[in-house]
Amino acid sequence: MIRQWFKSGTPWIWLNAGAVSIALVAVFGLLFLIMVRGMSHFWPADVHAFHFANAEQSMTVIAEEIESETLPANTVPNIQQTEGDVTRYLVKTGNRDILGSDFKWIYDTDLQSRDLPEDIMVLERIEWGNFYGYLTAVYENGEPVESSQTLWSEFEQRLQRVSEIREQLLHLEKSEIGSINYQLERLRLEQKRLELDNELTDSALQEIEQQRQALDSEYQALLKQTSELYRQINRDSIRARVMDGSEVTIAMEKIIKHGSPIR
Amino acid sequence: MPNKSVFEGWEAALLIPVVLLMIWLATNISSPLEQLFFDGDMRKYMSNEWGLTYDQRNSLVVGLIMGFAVIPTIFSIAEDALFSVPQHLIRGSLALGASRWQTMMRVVIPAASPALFSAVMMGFGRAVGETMIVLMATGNTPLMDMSIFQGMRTLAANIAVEVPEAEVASTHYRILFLAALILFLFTFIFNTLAEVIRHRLRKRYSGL
Repeated sequence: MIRQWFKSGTPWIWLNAGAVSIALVAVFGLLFLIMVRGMSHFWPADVHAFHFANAEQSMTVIAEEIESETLPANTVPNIQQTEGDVTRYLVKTGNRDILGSDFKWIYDTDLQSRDLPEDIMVLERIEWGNFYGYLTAVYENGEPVESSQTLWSEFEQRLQRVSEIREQLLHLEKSEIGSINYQLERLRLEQKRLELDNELTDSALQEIEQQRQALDSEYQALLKQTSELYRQINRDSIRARVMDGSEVTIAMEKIIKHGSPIR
Repeated sequence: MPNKSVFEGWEAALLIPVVLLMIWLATNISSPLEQLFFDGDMRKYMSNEWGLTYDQRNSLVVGLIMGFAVIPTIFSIAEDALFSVPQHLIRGSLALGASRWQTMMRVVIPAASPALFSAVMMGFGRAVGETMIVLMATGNTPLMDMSIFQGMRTLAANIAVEVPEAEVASTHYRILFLAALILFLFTFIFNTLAEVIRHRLRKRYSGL
């Protein structure tokens, strides 16, 4: 019976089918993996607060959880526990300017609890990557702002203003000053062409020089505008508390956008 | 004549849950097995007991990734070849009482073998000529030995990486050209061999 089955070749068909299904699972698994890793850019993980405490000290880590793995304790260096399993989390703490790195491994050996802090603020910045912390004050020209609104809506309003100014600046620098640069370059090429053709008369040179001066004065006016906008964009700043309790000042000009806290 | 199986044609789909289950099982028992046989740390055990160092980016990884990369090339050509085998051959074989597997092995594959062979060669060519995947997945370490757990650097990647930095007409520069020559000879010999084999296969099975 079994010999007959082998002779008919059915087992080999099943073996082939197994290989095909492994290949299918592998390909779709790979696609799924790439998708999950990529999508986490658009849907960032929740920001958790991990509370640690042992006999000597307690501390809190505020971070996004990126991944976790469970390992036998005796294989993990630099921890006290030697029996059983340890879970470690790769977390994104951000604040590279303060902590020196964006990511960190934390172990659950002294982990007391974890929760979702409600008023945590996530900022996307021009430099140093993300910022995670609590908003404590909004400053205008170095003076704390007193206002009737809540701190958060005050901050949102001012951030809106900053991003509008940034758009104007971008327009001025890219389009307007850019087009002047383009025309200047055309003038230079024109002059070069005349020179090579031996047609560069004094009158032609004068005309080019005149146009150049006109463009230059236009540029000076635009430069005045941009420096005024730069002065305006630098007006506001905020103070924020990071996870170890210290406070830092962040110029609002450096903030691109915020993740809104859960309110 | 055995009864026609209800699964016919759907074997691969049926096995997908089995494969998923096996993957789940493997991930779950890997840690206890590691604990039981390898003191909980396979990497350390390997280097202590067997003297094998383990790089994170190694030849094994490249093998898997190149497998992924050449699947589409081989698949599309091979599929075409298998379906262009004349239907009357298959029907005739089945009518004479051969089982599905016998028909496949003795009729379909020989008839399609020249095209199947060139599909595989195209895949190989793709894999040999590949620079970037190998460069990124091997760690690009110029030192290598026969261990599959170590990084490496292919000739193509070596040339691509070093040529912009080599001084013209220096020893380094000439060595890189030698490497390119070896690469060319290798590909040339390989392709010639493949072509010869393909011709012989075609001559042998063209009578079908």
